[in-house]
Formats: sequence, C-alpha cells, structure tokens
Amino acid sequence: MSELVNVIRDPSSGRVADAASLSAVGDRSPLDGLDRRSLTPLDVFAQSAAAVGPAGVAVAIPAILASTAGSSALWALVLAGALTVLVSWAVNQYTRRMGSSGSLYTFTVKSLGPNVGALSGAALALGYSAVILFSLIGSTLVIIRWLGIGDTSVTRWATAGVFVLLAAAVAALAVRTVRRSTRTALVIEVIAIVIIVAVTIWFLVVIDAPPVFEVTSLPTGADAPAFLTAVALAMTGFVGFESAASLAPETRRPRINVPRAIRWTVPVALGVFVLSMYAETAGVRAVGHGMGMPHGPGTALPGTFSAPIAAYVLDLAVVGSMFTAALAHTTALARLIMTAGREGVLPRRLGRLHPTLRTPATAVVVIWLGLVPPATVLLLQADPWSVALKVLVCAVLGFLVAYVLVCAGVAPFLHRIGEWTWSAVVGAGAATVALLGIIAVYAAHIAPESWPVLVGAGAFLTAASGAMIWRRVRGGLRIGLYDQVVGSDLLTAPQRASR
Amino acid sequence: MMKRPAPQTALGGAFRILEQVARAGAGVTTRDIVAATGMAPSTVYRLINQLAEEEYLERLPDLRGFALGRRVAELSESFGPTLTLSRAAHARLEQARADVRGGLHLVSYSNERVTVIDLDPDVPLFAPDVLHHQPERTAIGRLMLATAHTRHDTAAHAPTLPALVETVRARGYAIQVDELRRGAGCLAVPLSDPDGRVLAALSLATSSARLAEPDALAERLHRHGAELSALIV
Repeated sequence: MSELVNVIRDPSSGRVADAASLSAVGDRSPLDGLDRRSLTPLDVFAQSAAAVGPAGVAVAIPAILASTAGSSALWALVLAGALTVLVSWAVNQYTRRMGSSGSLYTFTVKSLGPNVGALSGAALALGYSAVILFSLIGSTLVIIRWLGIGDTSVTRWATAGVFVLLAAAVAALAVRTVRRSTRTALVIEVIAIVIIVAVTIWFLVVIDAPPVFEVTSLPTGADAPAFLTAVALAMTGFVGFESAASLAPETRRPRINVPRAIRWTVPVALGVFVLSMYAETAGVRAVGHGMGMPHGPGTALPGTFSAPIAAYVLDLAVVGSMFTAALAHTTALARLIMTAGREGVLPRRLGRLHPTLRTPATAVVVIWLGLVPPATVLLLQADPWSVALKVLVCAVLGFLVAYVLVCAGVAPFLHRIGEWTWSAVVGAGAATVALLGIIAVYAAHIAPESWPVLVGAGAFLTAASGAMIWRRVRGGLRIGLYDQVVGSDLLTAPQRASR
Repeated sequence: MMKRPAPQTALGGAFRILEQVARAGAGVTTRDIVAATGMAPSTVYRLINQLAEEEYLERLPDLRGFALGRRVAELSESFGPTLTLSRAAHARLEQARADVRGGLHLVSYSNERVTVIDLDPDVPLFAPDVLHHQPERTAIGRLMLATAHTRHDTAAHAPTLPALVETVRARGYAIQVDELRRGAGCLAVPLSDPDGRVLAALSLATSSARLAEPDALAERLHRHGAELSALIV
C-alpha cells in the first residue's frame, strides 16, 4: 500500500482522477453558517422521536384504530410499523450518502430532478406546517380545559392568549441554539413517554387484562377493506420519523448518526403504540372502554374506572408531546425554508442564519407570523378540535406524498451515483407501491367527510410547487443544495492537488 | 493492471479500497474501484459507504466520485513522530526545561494536526484527547488554529474561535488558564522556519498563578523557542 503511505506522508502528492469533480469542492459548504457538528447521536434521535410524538399519538390513535378494525387493530398497527420500517430504510439510502437541511426535498431533487423535487418541497412544507398548527391548537385546547374556563365570552380571549404564548415558546426555543432545542424536546418527550407507559401498565394491571392473543384476532378476508384502512390510519401515527435528516449538517458523524436516529425512531414508537393499542383492546373487552381520547382532548380515561389524577397526568403527557412535536417540526420546517432561501427558490433573505445562535431565525419568525392567521380562523370555530383534526389530515397527506417520492427516487438516485443494487431497488420499489396503496386507501377513507381538505391540499401542492418551478426557471437557479464536502475535509486540498 | 484475488475480510477490503483511491486519485468512482480491485460491486458499495461514514473517504460534490478524507492522516500516527530531535536540539530543550520549570513539551504541526515530538518526562500531557478532538480548548491547539496556512472551517470548532484566533495573533502566543483543570494552565509559543511558517510549538504546562502575568513568561519561551528552532527546522 505504498501509494496510500506516500499520500499520507505528503498530502500534496495526492493524485487526481477527475479534475472536474474535484474542482467543484469549495472552501465553504452551501449550508455554511449552521452550528456544524454540535449535535450528539442522542440529540438527532430526539429530533425524530419528538417529531413523531409517540406519547401523544399513543393516547389518540388506539381508539381510532379500534373503531375501524376492531380486534384486529393491533395487527394493523404492527403491519403499518413494518411498512414504516421499509420506508425509513429507503430514506436512509440517502442519509447514509449525503446530508441536507432540506431533508427529503433535497433528496428528491437529487433523484427525480428539480420539478418533482418542488412537489416534494411543497408537500413537506404542508406536512410540517399542518402538524405545527395541529399540535399547538391541540395543546391550547387541553390547557384551556385545565384552566376551567367554561363556554363564556372570556374563552376566546383566553384561548388566543394561550395559543400565542405556546407559539412564542416554540419559536423562542427553535431560535436558540439547535442543541438546546433538541435537548429540551428530548427531556419533555422522555417524560411524556414514561408517563404514558406507566399509566398504560397501571391500567392493564387494574383491569386485569387478558393475554394479547385472547383480545386480538387476525383479520379475515371479509374484514380486508376495514383492516387496510386501519393500516393506513396507523401509518399516519409514524409521520415525522425522518425529521433527523434535516439536522444532518449540524450533527457529528452525520452519515452514521442520522440514519441510526431514523432507524431507531420507528421501532421505539411502535413499541409504545402497541402497548397502548393492547390496553385499548383489552380495556374495551374488560371494562367497556379504553384509556384514550376518542372524542377530543379532555376525555382521557373515561368512565367509572378512572382516577382523576391519572387523567390529568395523561393530559400532561399529551400536551408535552404535542408541544415537542410543534418544536421539532418548526426546527425542520425552518431548515427547509432556509435551504430554499439559499437556493433562491424562496426569497434569499429567508436563507439567513442568526449570526451567533447559528439557527435559521428569519425562517422561524416567518413561520410564526404565518401561523397566526390560520390559527385565528381555526380557534374561532364552534368546535376547534374537529377542525384541528382536519388540519392533521392535511399534514398526513403532505408527509405521505413526500415519502412516496423519496422511495420512488431511490433507484434513479443509486443509478446516478453508480451504486445501483437489486436489493435496494426492489426494497424501495416495494415501499413505493405500498405507500401508493396507503395513500389511495387513506384518501378514500377521508374523502366523504373531508373532501374540501383533499381539494385544498391538492390546490396548495399545485400552486406551491408551480411557484417554485417558475422561480427556478425564471432565475436560472441551481437547486438541490446539500452539505457537500469542503476542501478542509480532504487529505489533499483541491488547490494543492491541481498544481 | 494486475488482478489480485479478492480480499478475505472486510478490513482487507477496506484497505484495498483506500489504497485504490490513493492510487487512482481524487474523483475516482465506485465503478473504477470495482474494476480495479476485482471485488464484488455490492461489497465495494458497502465498504465505501462505511469508509465515508467514518470520514476516511469523502464523497465529492457530484456524489459519484471519492477522495481521501483528512481522517486518513490519523492512520499515520502509528508511524511515530515525523520529526526526530538531534542531540544538540535535545540538549537545548533540556536546558530550556531547567530554566522555566513546569512541564515543557515540544510538538509539531503537520497537516494541521498536532504530533508530539518530545514530552516532558516529569509532566504528562494534560488532555491528549481534547488536544486532538477539540484543539480550540488547548493552548497548543489554539496556536495551531491561529497559524494554520489554510483557512479552517471555524464553525466546525467553536463559535468563539475567531475571537480566540485574533487574540493569539495579536499576542504572538496562545494561552489557556483554568479551562481544562482548575489551578493549572498552558502557554504555547510558535517555532517558525526561516520563511516564518509555524511548524512546531513549545508549550509550558504550569500553575495558574504563574500564568497570571503571561507576557514575561512568553518572552522567555520565545527566546528558547528561537534558539531551538534554529537547531530543528
């Protein structure tokens, strides 16, 4: 291995195979200015875990699944988890090779080109902002109920006040250094999960739950449509698992730690979901109800069985989980906006970072301002909770579209970089087909009640991606910025090598 | 090129790939590596991505080509010091040690990494780990960052780095007091070649009390350093 030793002893003797590709190496990353390599593996895991918000989902989703698929709901959940594992594996085909604050948007630009990439960007923006809106409205409603303000004239003012405070707290945390915000999210989410798991186990003990296989059953052929709907709905519980990808430039050893965070988030969330799904099913069998909140916040642990303190603790976990979900998605959305700002697809000013905190502060402020009008409209509704759920439908659609594009892009991406393998392409193809099926089933399920939401989401995607494409073509912009290698990362710096 | 049998282990394969990247040069693609090494494509893809994850290889901006990463230089640490002291230089260093008291270490800077040339036998290095991974927290590291020939990605280190670097440049030496260990600190002065390039450093580890007025101490170290560098570089 003499050549290796030579180049280590004297890096300036490094050879060049492809001068053109080496000359593209600059001094600075296009995403320069972020707080590089400040996040530990635990921090990026926190980002993905908080974005999924397992504690909040675990309280909300079992009742929904049980009412759809009955005793086979648990198996629908497990199947959805397995599908999500497949999707996360497809996402990691990119995260192992490149990192970008633009996350799936950048991956899609690099695989399916700038036009499809614009659709992915619009879909992600829709998903992120709808989850932020939903989480903030949901936690506001629970807090208002705690405050014990009935249906009076002060309710609206109090609601608006609580919402603004929560949104300001999220924005303030998102602007602070990225490490502080992920640490905060981690602490709150861990506490929320511990509460959920503890209350669930306590519930199972109190009702003397029968074994899993007694209360659940595998779906039969006749149940297939309902079962598939439940799989689609269950899959919505996992959205956000990819969120760590947007922090790659800020992570230590990102090509190891980001894929690891994404890989572990899904099984951890699935574990929490399965436990609470089991409690739901067993609870319905033993005492006639589960422990979730089927009709909105404030109905946790219903019926004669409940201990009031447990309901409060559970609510606390839900609020905490929603709050951290809002924070995690603000973090991701701000980085997406910043990336598009750097590219020029959005106004360049949005690509700026805070000079000392090194966070996309301008983008966070824009998100915060953008939230106020829709939140006002929603909170003025007679039944804000049911409207908030429609917002969540939007979010889920956005994420599913972004996921299907990123899976469909795996084969072209690997072909482009010359690392095409059958196993990767077959796996990603399976994920693509499964996701398309999920989207179809999900859309068919929600269409009768929420068709205006579907139309609205479609209109937004068309308009936003159209605007992005128009700006790119008119400005002659090159998009797909990612955290590419810089000269100081290389053993032989480009200028020395070319001499 | 002569074909060799495929390596038997992943480790063998990884070194075969590193060697091939060094031989072919920056910008080599996975396809070239597969052709040159005779290894199975899927094995090459897997090992290349693992080497890139560990930052021994870096993917170039077109995402297809690869180049050796800076981390490869760490492999050279097992080769031992790059500089050996002449008897005269060693005697001069001992003389300096007798004069200043405390732990006086001689280190060299090559490829923007610190290599220990001569450790004070009586005083171990404060925190070798910190020196390698967070150089900006040590006097030796600050001096290196302030005098590096190539521009550093300062953001990779600490937000306070530009200020630190300015201070070092203004004073002509680097200092760290109480930051790694309470009551102790370090002062480093540069050793330059005739062209003024900083190639090595003398670093004194001593009590914080002695470092309270560092200018006089730095002056003394500078004098020793100037004579020592005439014998070394």
